[in-house]
Amino acid sequence: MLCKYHIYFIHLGNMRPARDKINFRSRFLPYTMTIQSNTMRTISFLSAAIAFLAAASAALSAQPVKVNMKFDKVSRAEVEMQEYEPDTTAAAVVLLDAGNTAITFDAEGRICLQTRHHERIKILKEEGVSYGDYELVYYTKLGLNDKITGVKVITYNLNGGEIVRTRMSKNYIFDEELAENYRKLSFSAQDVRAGSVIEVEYDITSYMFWDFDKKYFQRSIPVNLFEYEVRIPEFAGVNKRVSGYNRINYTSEKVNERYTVGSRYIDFTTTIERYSGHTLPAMKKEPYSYSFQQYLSAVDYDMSNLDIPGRLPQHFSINWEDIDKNYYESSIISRMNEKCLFPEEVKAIAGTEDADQDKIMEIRNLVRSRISWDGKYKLFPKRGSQTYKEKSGSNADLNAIIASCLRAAGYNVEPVLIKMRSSGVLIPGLPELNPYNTYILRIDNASGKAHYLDGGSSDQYLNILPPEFLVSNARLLREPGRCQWIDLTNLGKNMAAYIINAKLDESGVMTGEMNAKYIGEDCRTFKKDVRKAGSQAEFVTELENICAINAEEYKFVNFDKPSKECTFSCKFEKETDNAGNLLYISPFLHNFHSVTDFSSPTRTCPVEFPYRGVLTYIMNLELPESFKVEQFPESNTISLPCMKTACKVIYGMNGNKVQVSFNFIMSEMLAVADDYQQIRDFWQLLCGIYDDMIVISKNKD
Amino acid sequence: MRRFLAILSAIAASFIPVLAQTGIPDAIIENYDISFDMNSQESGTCSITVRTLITKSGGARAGNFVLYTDSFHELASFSGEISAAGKTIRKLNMQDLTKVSASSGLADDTFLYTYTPAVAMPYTIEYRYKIAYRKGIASFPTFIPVRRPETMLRSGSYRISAPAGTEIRYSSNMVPETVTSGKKTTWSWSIKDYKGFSDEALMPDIRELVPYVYACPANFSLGGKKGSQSSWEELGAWLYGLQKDTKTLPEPFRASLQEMTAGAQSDLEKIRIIYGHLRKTTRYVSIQLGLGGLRPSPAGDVLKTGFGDCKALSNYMQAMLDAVGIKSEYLIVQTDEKDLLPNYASLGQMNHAMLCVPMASDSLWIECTNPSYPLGYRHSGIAGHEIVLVTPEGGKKVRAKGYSDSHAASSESMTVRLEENGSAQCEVTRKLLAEDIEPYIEFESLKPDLRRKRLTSRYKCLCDNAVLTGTSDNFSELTGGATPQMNVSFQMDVPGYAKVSGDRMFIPLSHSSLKIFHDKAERVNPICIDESLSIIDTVRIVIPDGFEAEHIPENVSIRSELGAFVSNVSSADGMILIEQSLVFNKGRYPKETYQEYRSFAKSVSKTNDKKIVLVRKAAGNP
Repeated sequence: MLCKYHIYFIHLGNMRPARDKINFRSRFLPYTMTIQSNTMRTISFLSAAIAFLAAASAALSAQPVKVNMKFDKVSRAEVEMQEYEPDTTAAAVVLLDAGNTAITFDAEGRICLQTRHHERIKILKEEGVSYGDYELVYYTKLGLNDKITGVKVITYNLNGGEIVRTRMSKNYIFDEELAENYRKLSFSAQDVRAGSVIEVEYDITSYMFWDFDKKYFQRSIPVNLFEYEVRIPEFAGVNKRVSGYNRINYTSEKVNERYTVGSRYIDFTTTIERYSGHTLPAMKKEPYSYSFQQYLSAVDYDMSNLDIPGRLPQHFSINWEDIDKNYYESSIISRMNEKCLFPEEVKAIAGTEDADQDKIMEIRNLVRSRISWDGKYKLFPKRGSQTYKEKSGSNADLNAIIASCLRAAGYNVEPVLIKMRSSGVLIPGLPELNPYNTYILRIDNASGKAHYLDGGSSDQYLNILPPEFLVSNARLLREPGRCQWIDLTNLGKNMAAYIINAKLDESGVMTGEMNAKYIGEDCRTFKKDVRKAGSQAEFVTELENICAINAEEYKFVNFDKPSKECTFSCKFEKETDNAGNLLYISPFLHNFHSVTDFSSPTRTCPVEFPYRGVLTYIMNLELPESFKVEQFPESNTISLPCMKTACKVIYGMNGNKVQVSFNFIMSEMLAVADDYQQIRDFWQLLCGIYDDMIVISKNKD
Repeated sequence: MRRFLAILSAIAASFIPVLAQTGIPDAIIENYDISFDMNSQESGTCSITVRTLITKSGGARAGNFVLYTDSFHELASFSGEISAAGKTIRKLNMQDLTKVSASSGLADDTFLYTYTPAVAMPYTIEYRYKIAYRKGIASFPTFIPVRRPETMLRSGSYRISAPAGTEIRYSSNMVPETVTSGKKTTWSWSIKDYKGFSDEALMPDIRELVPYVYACPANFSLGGKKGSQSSWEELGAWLYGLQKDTKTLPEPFRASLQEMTAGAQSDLEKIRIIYGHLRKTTRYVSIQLGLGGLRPSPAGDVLKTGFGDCKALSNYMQAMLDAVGIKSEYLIVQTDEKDLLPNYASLGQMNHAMLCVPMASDSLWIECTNPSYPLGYRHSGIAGHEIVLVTPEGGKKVRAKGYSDSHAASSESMTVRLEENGSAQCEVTRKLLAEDIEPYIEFESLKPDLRRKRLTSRYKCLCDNAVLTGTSDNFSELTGGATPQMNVSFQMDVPGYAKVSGDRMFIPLSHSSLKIFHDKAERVNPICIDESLSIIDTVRIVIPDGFEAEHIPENVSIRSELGAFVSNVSSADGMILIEQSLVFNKGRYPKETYQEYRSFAKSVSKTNDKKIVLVRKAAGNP
């Protein structure tokens, strides 16, 4: 709804947010790259590919809506349809997604990737009309500029029983600067309404030929039919990864091709790999999922080598060893080997009698006291001197400086490369050219015990990492041949432990002390929650509101410095439910889980929890002499085998003290979608425990 | 009301900081100086110097650099310096800024420049930059030196220098000094030792608390078009002039509209038909390039493309109505604020365009970007707002009709059939008024997941199988100015409605997830409740056979000037009846009243945490 007027008027509290993060393509350059320029004619693969695709459509007759694969061959049935039978709630459906990518040469003989996108979308409801708007982000660095050409958009509508075609005017294609090295091509189909069919076609030429864009077959709306073809000449070696849960048909064939250069020519074989399928359901983001894109049906290629006749061969990465070698020769290792920036201070720390863990953290804190973290996670560090000059850096920059200081102190330090959870799961069996987002440090002390540390973030400690980093397969980077996979999901104990000691008075008011101890990831989470509240006082206010208590004399220990554990305590007062001679008391001051966490009745993606851990809660409640417990809730044990998770609650008396013991253990972080109903049922039972009530009679007689 | 509810709920998430216990601000702006030199109506240069000491993490955002530019404003130069303990840590230049497109739609020439320092605190950051104004000046820079809470200002100054004879207009809580010297007239505002403000929930309008100056040239030029901002009348005339020649539609299309409405019995029916046509054939797409950010795209273009932004769609609707003989008025409005700045007309105050059709009894307000809204519905962006009609006679400032406080009540009635195992089938009827209807418009067309969330997100228990059983509304009466009303009925299963333990069943008095949060700290600002709020809940629980009430929570009644909370629970004839109402009264209350508000909030929480207890009847008892 916003118009331009307001840009001149800075409205207090109404500053527009910065642009959302954009998924840029990876920029890792291969270490060998030479291209000789020749005068060559481009293979006209596109028309050949399209001709083939049109012919292949007969093989895919099972899709709910029959479509002709050719551009501008929309049937009356497609325009007339009013709902999509497999998903009648869909606001729009991709009737056809037909694309192809080829490794080929442009008119100047430069190797490139050429991709044709062709899709046809049916708008079924009003809320689907935004599917007529397109935004294509492309790279623009000199020498590697992407090119988008041949944009064609047609909208088909029924008007008085006739199909009316509206071609989009080129005046409505806008090409704008987006950010450094990136531009955006935007266009909107004309005359789009509920019932319209939109057909779009465009070509992209990319000179980052070693790095294909991942092709997603599945989307946020259903897909009726897709076909995707990749043409790989014999002089190019590629790796590929297919992901998702839906059936994808795959075929492969070889064809002979000729590439002509003046009077010379090259004959070669091209492998054509085809992916097809139909009736893909819509995918939506679900809670407790770090990267739902990884579950979409998709295929991803990257190039391993290029050996064009008459040119120098180029080698990228073919296996993890090659990939390891590339990273080993990158700036990560060299920066870690730079001279220590604080030699005197590091020497002083190293010379103390403190335990290794304390020395390591002191060195880390020393670096952090001189250089701030800029909030970013990166992979390749700058020179230490530059970071120090700027007094701030990414976690990669800080890790490199901390590593150089730790080495000066005599520790063995190595980088551990990580693909963050939000980027998807890294599968050792499927090498990826540019898999990693960041790295952390592995530090071995004299006895050989390994510790893991990240220099970024405020609340880190040894072996306590952001949940984004807790992956099963991180890569310990060493000399080629010695790298290892490291599991970061089980580095230490995570625990939240609560002890409540309270007294009930004759009027039914409970007073006591709450003591909470947080260890490991729970320590980090607790500190983050307090910072999010704004201040310690505000956190306590939040606690009062949620628990319906009055809290005083609160104390935070180990809060302001990195630590592996911290504690919180406060005195509290809470009124109980008074019913004449009876009191109804909830033994839980706080619900640790919410039953609405899994309110959706169904689930498509696996369920991911941040980390494993243990939660214990003990309450000792002293009753007045004349009081007795009329009724205890049932002690209970419930379990969730698929996640090796269990919960046990025990109620009992010890003299005149009510004792409640609650233990919750979660031993796995990941569950498949098929187990969702079990998780949901377990969660309901678990949250039901928080509704337990103890009935106390005021009069023993 | 939704906005107020959002504030209550958002407190839990945001925990807006209050004045620090120690009284040390999070940031101290040592100086904030703006100097604007106007060369002509078409060009000028703005020089800004800001030097800020960041003392604590809460003040970090006060050190950020954020600037929007477009085709009329260019960042001409930039430098900066970060220092700590008297030493320069780092010098900044233009390359250190991150520049990204801040596009709001299909095409937009707006860019955003940012820089976020990441240096150990305390540190001082100074920015010095110039913005070139070109192709016209509609507004001078806005002077609001303090925008974050817990931020002190030692010295601030704002100077506008223009060719002598230039008339400027301004809205400010400071008084300027005006000096004419030679060929230039200079207006200067200054402020010293401003202590800052504390951000609290339900606080007064921010403009009561911070120094500000909004200023603009009375006569301006933008994109080559000259106009006046001396009054809304004159500004409206300029806007009307921009729209000249944009309302033409091809004759065949005009004829088709006339044919479409030939059978209509009244003007209202014609409008309804045309509104339906707008809905079927257009969609919202924003193109904000240059003067296109102010002038609507021609109606003919919208006809061809089927899309446009609020200006274009409103202009197109106006042209269509004109084709069938209905006069309407294009209007501009600020959807976030009900009141415009007093005695100050300026382009920058508005952010939306709509259409108004004067009818016999009242005006009909037409939202052209969302034709799924019932015709005549005054949404929260316009109900009660001051708006400016753009007419051939110039701009006319009027206030759109709002909804009275008595219309601020929403209510819910639930019948709960409780089973022995604590599960329940619930039948719910929700009565919605005014803007509360918005999430439920064309409810059946929403995706199942969204429907489920809209029906059940109010509850803190798990709700399964939520199914709509009926809706009714008065949308056909909205064109006569009626308050929108909607009744939504649905059924759902709640597996854990009550907790069974031995022979007892514990039923929460309230399953609502609404909590009224309150602060411990001493209140600094008066309490301002902008809109009245009234929530009425009635729950009838059918007691399962074999059970009887052991404990019914006491009735509660708390009344004060701020509002009232009443909770009555009774049991009779095998049924428990819970009647609760929560009312907040619109008004402004002294800060000392916060203790009352706190007690009120605590009582509500305490009451809703209580349980109704049922117990199995003794054997032999009926």
